[in-house]
Amino acid sequence: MCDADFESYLDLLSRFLRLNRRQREDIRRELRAHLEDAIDDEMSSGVSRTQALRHVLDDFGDAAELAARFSKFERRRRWLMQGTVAAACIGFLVLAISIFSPDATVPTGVALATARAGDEQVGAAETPPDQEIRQALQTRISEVNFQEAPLDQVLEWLNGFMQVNLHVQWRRLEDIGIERGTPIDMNLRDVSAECVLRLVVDEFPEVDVDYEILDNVLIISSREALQRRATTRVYDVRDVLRAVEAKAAPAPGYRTTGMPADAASPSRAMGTGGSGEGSIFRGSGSGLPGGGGLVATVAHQESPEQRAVNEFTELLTNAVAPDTWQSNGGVGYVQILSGMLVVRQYEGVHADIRQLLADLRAVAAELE
Amino acid sequence: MVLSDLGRGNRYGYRILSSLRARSGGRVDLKAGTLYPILHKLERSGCVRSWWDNSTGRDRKWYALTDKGRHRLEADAREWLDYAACVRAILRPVMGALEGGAVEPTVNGGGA
Repeated sequence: MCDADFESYLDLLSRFLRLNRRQREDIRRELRAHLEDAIDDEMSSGVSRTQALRHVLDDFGDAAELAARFSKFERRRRWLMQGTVAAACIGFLVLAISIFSPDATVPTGVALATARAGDEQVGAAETPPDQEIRQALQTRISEVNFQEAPLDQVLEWLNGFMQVNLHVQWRRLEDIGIERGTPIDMNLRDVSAECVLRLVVDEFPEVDVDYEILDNVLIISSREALQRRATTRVYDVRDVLRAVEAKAAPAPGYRTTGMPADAASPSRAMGTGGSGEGSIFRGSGSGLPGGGGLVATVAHQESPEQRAVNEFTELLTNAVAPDTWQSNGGVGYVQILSGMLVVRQYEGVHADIRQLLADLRAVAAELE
Repeated sequence: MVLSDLGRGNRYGYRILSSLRARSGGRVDLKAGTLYPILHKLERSGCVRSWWDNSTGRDRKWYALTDKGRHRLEADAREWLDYAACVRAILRPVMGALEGGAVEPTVNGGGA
């Protein structure tokens, strides 16, 4: 009965490992041998086989974490030596050095001890710090299986795959009623880490939980707390606006169609003649989040440029995180200046905006 | 540390753990979850090679140092010893005050 426990552990580990079949089998075999040896050892001091098994399995630790450590090398990240003595030793020595001879230069040995995997390290200095996190968020996870897993462990597990600086503001979360131990249930296959993070964050609909990237730190906190951390970014949208102007026929006013016209429909007039329905944003249902159904604005005599700007702004604030904009009491602010889109928003919303721009450009290219 | 243990002879995983524990007087207590990823990484970087053997009664994966591994061990060991000596020199006045005598460095051996 207890041997079955071990087999399940190995199964779980095997599924988390992102290696080929032969390597996984290899690891299973090796760990099984280790287990047997460890059990023999334990039993020689008188404990029962069941107890010995339990003890050794505890020692192995969490299957997901262990798998992540195997995978870590696959992704060529830094590796910290985990010998308990080594860490304590270095800590003490560095402390002693800094206290007793403040002007001594710490020898390269410290660098040796804390970052001993130099051979395999990719040139991380080339990518800006938040790029690394963005990439880490795209890490694929082959299996996610939480059954009433506590939130803090879920986040740690997730970070086992991403290996980024993760900072969870627990006090802020507790302030809005989210405990560390909140149980999470999830059962997915082959998803990105970001997807899992998003889903976890969305577990709490009444309270606003979100995440953000600051330098090379991934912060998870309440929206309220992150509000002070909304960032302002500038996007060059001249090409998008130009595409809008080019398609739009100058007209005193226009109506909304109220529903997305489908791509093949000839009624989607592309600015030929004065039909007044030539906006690129009108009814381009495919690929646009929330496409169609724009609110009509009052007809003034405005320049095509101005109209393009207004239309785009409206699209943005309606299609992307509508409740986070200032017009709805949120913190989000947007303005277009000379083709530069300036937005103050949370990280997650910025990601959505980037996606929207990419989609718009893709559709515009198709329509050329 | 793992390399240094393999420097003493061919080993399989569990033996490395117990050997390190014994040689350090119980102070170095690596966990399986730490050791096996290290071994795999060393193998991938060519510092050790492995093979399966069940002549000892159990089907086990054995490891041995390669030449590259040996060089790596020597280089790491030298760095560590230099480092330890340097720190010792800096701390001499402190250690004198703390213990009224010389203090042994607590770690002695290969870096990996």
